[in-house]
Amino acid sequence: MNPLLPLFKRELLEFKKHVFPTVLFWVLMPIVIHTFLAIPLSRIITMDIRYLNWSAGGIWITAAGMTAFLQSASRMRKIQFESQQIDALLKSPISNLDLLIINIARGMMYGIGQFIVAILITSTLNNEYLSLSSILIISIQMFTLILHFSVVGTLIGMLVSNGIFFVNISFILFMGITMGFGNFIPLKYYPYSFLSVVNTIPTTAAFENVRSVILHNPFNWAGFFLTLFGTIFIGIITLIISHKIFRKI
Amino acid sequence: MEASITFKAVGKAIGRKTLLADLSFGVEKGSTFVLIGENGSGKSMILKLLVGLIEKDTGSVYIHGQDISSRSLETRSMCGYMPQNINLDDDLTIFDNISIHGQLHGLTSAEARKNTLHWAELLGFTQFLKQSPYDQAFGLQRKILFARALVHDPKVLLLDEPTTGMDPHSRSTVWNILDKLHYDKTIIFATQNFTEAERYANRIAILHQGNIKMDGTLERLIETTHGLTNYRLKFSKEPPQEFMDQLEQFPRILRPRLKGLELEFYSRERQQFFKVLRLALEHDLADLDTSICRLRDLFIGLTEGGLE
Repeated sequence: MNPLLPLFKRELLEFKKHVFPTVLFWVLMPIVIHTFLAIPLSRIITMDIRYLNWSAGGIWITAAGMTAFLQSASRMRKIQFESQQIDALLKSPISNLDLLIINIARGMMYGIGQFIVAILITSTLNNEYLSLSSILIISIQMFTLILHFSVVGTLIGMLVSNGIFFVNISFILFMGITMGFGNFIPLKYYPYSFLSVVNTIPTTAAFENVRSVILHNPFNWAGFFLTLFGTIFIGIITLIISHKIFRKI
Repeated sequence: MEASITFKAVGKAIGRKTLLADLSFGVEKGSTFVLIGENGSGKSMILKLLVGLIEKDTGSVYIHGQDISSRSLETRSMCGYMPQNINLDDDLTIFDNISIHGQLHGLTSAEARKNTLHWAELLGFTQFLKQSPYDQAFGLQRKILFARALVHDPKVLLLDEPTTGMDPHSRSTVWNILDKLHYDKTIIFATQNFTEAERYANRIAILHQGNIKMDGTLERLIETTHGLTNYRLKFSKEPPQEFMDQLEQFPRILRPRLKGLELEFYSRERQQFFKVLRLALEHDLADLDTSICRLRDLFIGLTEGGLE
């Protein structure tokens, strides 16, 4: 039997056990971001289209990205540092790659769930209509971003044992996603020197692509593929690091 | 007999600290092999190395003829491992903890279910299967770990202090199961319980500072003491220093040690003992006890610089 199947089954069993708090979190996260971030900023920022419709993309990215990051990172930290479950897993005939794949899949499972709930909530709150093709294109872009955050979460979870340090990293990531990449504050408000740095990061273009669907603008496919390749690269680094960390004292 | 496990010049170090030093030994198929040693002597390290939780620096290890480095997936699936610490999954029920572990080792869902129920019934925790393992007493958690190690019917069973924290009834259940299993499985267990080691082992290895100081059957190990006897004399009041000084004059009285009111020493010659006894009677001797050297004595002797 493929070892990924029982591992995935384990994730489903955990999801089943925590289904109520998970769904509650999925519902609350976009509402909280909408209420405490998007609405106040809508009073300050003026643009060609309604700000709340424009910022919906930021809500999907922040909610789904943070969920994917936190789920993959906290699970990896839990099995490695907080409990000794990793011994039971590594003792089994599974490879490090299997363990990483299932952890990334976990982040994606929760991230995609969060994205679906977020898109439903923002569409309801903003009376927004998205065509099937728009949802499909947004989903492709979001899939890559959720994968990206799951991989980064797995890497961080594998490296950061200190709880306070992990909270700080999560907070910095949250601030970075919400404030640093034009998800809630258009990039034109930032100084040129900052933009010259941010625009070199492929995920900036991937974030921009999500908003482009709302604005009916063309996509930057180069940004999409660069994010995807960057994610694969981080994944390979994570695998190499796992061989240096797992099965070592 | 055919070898089940072979260690060849295995070494492991962290920085300057040597954890396993040029370790070589073999374990026959279908035998029960016991590792005894102090804390940090390398017992758990050997078990973890066998199940692939840590990697060796040098040497080779084979399980049923397969190298654990190049055929690690195969060798890991052959082993059942019960760790010293509780590492159960708190997000799953006891049933799922055992069943998922079985499925990770290649069992189908139905086989895993059947085996889980079988071991739960034998170990007496069927009624708790739907509960969280962390709501249970420590002894029961140890039994769950034991069931988890056995669920996939491994050829090699590696147990790290298996009965620690269990009540006498549970201990006896576990040993009865192991007694039945040892005909078709190779069992290695690490322990600090000499009674269990003497009772259940086919072979015993005494580990000290990452290497085997002595190994063999219990009878063979006891033979190496050449009839050494342990004597314990109890006094009503602490014997004077003069008595201890006199004792030092006896060349064949080994390791005389006074612990409170009890004097312990070893000797191979009865005459020497009688002479000490005569002296002791002059200093309020209250009681005495003698026993032939057992594993505990041998272990203390070997790990504390020898009995001689």
